[in-house]
Amino acid sequence: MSEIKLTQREIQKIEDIAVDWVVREDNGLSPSEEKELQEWLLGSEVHRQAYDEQRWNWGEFDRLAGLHTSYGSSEDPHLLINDRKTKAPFYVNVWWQVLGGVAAVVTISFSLFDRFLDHKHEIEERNYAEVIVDRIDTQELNDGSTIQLNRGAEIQVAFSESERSVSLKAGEANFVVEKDESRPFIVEVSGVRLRAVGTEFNVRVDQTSLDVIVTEGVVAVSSKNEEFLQGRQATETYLEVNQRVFVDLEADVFDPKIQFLDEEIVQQELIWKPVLIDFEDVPLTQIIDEFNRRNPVKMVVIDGSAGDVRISSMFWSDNLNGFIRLLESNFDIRAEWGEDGSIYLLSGSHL
Amino acid sequence: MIKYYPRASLTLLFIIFSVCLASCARGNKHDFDIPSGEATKTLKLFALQADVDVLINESELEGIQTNTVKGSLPIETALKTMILGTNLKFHQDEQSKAIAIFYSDKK
Repeated sequence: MSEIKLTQREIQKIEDIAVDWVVREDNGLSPSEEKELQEWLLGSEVHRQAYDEQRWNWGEFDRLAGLHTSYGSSEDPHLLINDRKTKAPFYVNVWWQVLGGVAAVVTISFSLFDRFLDHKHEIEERNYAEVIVDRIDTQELNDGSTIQLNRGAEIQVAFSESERSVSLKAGEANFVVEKDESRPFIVEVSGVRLRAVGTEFNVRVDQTSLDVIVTEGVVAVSSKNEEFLQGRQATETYLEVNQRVFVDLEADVFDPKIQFLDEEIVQQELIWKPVLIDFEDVPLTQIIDEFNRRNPVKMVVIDGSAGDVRISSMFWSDNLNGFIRLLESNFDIRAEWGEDGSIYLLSGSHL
Repeated sequence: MIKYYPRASLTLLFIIFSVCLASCARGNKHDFDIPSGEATKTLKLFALQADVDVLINESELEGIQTNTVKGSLPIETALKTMILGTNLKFHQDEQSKAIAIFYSDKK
């Protein structure tokens, strides 16, 4: 049997056709297209080889990505045979449609009704290590306002017709408030009341103090705590952009202290907010430094060669867990939690 | 209503279900328009259009050309189409959906 000799151009053309068939096949082929593919495969052994190679490559992507292959690779022996089953009884189809319709109605109803429910954000009791590398949670409220919750933060939302009320139970949150003059946005924190109309501000509370920084608009700060006021009338202190108020919650008297901040200090205080870490062809250590600036958990490169690999990234700064998992599975790097709460990175050759 | 207008009721329910299904399916696709070109540039364009976190190992990436991708596609399909025929591979983190892209000459 004589060997088929093809030019490089002809081989490339066959490979392009094979690639095209593999991509089309993944999206599903009609019976006539399947027939066309089979005829092309049967046309030459070279066609079959090119198709098998590209099919294998496609399957490798699925294996690496953890996906199931979307289409079988064996020929369909019933392609040209009309062996359609008889139609299912009418009552069987009806009940499947009813079931699907009921499921759809329930889904729509829930998604609409949920917008009118009070939102409640609860943090389960979890391992500290898991919580501090959680992603930053962004809650979008039904008035269009958003709340970014730093790790460990806890809020409770209660909107009414006259007021939009949010209670910050613990931690730190950044509020971006939609303007609605008919309904003031009130944040209640440990007996202190923050009122905003259309603003952006950051609030941090712990057991002893409250810290508020305004980055847009105006926030009015007051207390409704009788003990704090000690018989005096509640008055509002107004905070403007790049101003901070600090309230000592252990003091006998409500005495908010206003501070004027440089833009640089404001950015530093709000560095926990997620940003896109966008680098092109830099050593891994440079990307790690940026993650470390923005996260409470620090990564430490133990093995110099681990940090030398050159990487481009477009990665949200709060996706620390995802970043580490990808390093471990694809960059020959091993990550270990240290007793000091840091994450140590070593090259895989240390195994 | 089902008793007196069974076909109309079922048709309405089927339409509602289909709309829900279509919106769910649409939610898994992104619009891509990435011309063929140098992998060092096209893969970042992919990251932007896919709205997904991406890490790219730059080792041995130079000179690799990726394929054109255009249309509304699932992220994995778009990326597979881009790198088909090259020695590039990818791995997606199941939880965060972040993707690592790297060169591999392993068969």
